[in-house]
Amino acid sequence: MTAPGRAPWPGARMLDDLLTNHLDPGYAAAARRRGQEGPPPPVRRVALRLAEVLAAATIGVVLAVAYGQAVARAPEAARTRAALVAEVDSRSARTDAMQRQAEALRQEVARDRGAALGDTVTGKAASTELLDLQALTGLARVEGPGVVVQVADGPAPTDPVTGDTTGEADLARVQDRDLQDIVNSLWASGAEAVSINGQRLAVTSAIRSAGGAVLVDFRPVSSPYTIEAIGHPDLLPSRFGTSSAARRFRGYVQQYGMTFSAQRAGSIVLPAAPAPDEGYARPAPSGGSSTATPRPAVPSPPGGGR
Amino acid sequence: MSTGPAPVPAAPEPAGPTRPSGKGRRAGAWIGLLTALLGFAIAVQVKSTESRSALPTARQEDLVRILDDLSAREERLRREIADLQATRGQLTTGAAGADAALKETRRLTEQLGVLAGTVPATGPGVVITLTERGKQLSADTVLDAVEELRGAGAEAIQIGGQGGAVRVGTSTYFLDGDRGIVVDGTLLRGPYRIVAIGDAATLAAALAIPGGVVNTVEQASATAAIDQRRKVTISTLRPLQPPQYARPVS
Amino acid sequence: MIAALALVVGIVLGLVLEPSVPPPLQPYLPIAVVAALDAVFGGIRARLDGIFDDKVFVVSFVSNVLIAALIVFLGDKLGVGGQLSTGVVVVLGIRIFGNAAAIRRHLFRA
Repeated sequence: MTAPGRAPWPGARMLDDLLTNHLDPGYAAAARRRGQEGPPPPVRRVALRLAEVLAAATIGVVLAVAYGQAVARAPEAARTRAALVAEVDSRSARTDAMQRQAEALRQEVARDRGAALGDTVTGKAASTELLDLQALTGLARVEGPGVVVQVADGPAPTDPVTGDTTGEADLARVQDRDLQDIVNSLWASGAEAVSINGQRLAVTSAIRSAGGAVLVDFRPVSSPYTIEAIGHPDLLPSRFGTSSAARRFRGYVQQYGMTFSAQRAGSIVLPAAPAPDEGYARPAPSGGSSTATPRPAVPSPPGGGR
Repeated sequence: MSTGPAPVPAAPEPAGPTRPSGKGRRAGAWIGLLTALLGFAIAVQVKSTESRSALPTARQEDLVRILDDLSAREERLRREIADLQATRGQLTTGAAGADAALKETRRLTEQLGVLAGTVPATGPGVVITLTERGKQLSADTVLDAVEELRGAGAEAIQIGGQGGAVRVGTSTYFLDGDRGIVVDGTLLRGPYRIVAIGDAATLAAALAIPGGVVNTVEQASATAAIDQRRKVTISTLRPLQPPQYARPVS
Repeated sequence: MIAALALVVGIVLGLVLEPSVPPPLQPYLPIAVVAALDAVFGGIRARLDGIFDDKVFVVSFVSNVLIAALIVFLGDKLGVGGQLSTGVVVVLGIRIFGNAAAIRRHLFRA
């Protein structure tokens, strides 16, 4: 509503109309005309009725076709993919729950073991050695000061007309190499324990990409990525801040619009990673300094054949 | 401010707050319920948006692979939970218990030692020889190779070159150095010899995937020779340095 | 009433016959749907208000669809197709809501 005595702003009338007059003014005008002139002649009335029926039928067809287009005819691939995504999500949730259960069990076993080992010097030494090893290999829950690094994908370049993403979205996306880079620099800066989005990096953990998602220790994680590292409260953040990975990422921020931040934290708790399978490696009898049994190495065929 | 006309006396206030009538109370209850639902819905939606994965952009093959990896992880966790439950049942206090616990702890320590690098290890695996020709291999490439090996199940890895050999552990880092690569503070120069213990075929395949490590190495004009062995031994050790800042939490 | 029947018949025909939309027209289908809905709601409200008129109904539907499609088409040529499409949907949506509110008032006196 315009204040009294002021010239109405041209757009105000339009906005008013938009927000209050929703009915096509044609109806009111037609009603007025009918009041003045009376009902139209029968022939005309039948023709109008016909037109109305046709219009209604057309509307129905349009609605049904749109439905068919959008829902019923959605490509098979998209629906299978949606099912796969749902499966991945549910299985991730399940492994997370199992992870928590394993964590609780680990705590219990550690306590029981500590109690069973007793107060002897050897017992305590063995216990400490095991705990230290577990902490270093990522198989024990640890706590300490350190640094929290956060990176996120940049916005994918979009086509202004259709709003679809163009093919170069990959460039703005944080990939496994980038995360490997950051983690590498963190270790080089003196980190003692590192996790990505809550997944602890153990000695057998790998960071790999599959499509747009990054897999850390076989679990998919996605942007934004929070990388936590425990280490010296001052040296770790400062060394990381000047590391090559930090420099590279600051460049990515400029170029691709990724986000990057590194902040010190007073207390970080990192969960343990799932224990690796007892696999192929066995402790070698000590004293053996020989390396692999000699056999001529076969060079890869020229031309990079596979 | 100039005084305006005398203020109109307000309508007499009802004595004390009036009790809401039945209808008003019911409306109030409805309003409360609906706004509570709204708040709940907002919270749920925010949570779900934050945790929504980037997966919808992934291709079908990638999703299948992610599912495979997740199954492997689930299997691993299931086995670990069973192991832990068994161990929990076995640990008892008392002299006999203390002895048994000590033995079990030492066994576990040795097993972890294989992974952590504090004991020599042996088993099937691969030996990879990276020979540079003119152009220097970057630390990134070697890091990539190590990650690929880990992903394929390598349990112990050793990297050697001119200048020595380094046992790869959790916190091993790779930096470009003077005509070589600095691994955990030790400068190594080519040709590099990487020994990894695990399932030989899987390890070799992981490196040879299109666009993988072998490709990258060859693009840097170097050669990668992968040799599968039934038995390799890794004898370089990584001294145990107890963590100073990461304290185990009970 | 006949119009409502015709609408239902149209829906059934569309579902049963499953006509395929030619690709050049596919981007305009959503706009056509929203314009059609606006005409339907407008018609229902006019009916309840007692001022329904066949000619106006037909003309409003046809013109809504054509004008909306024209706006989006122009927008595509100018490079702002996505935004104009959003604008059209917003405006038609407001009208649909307004008419729906009026219908609700008629039906439920609430």
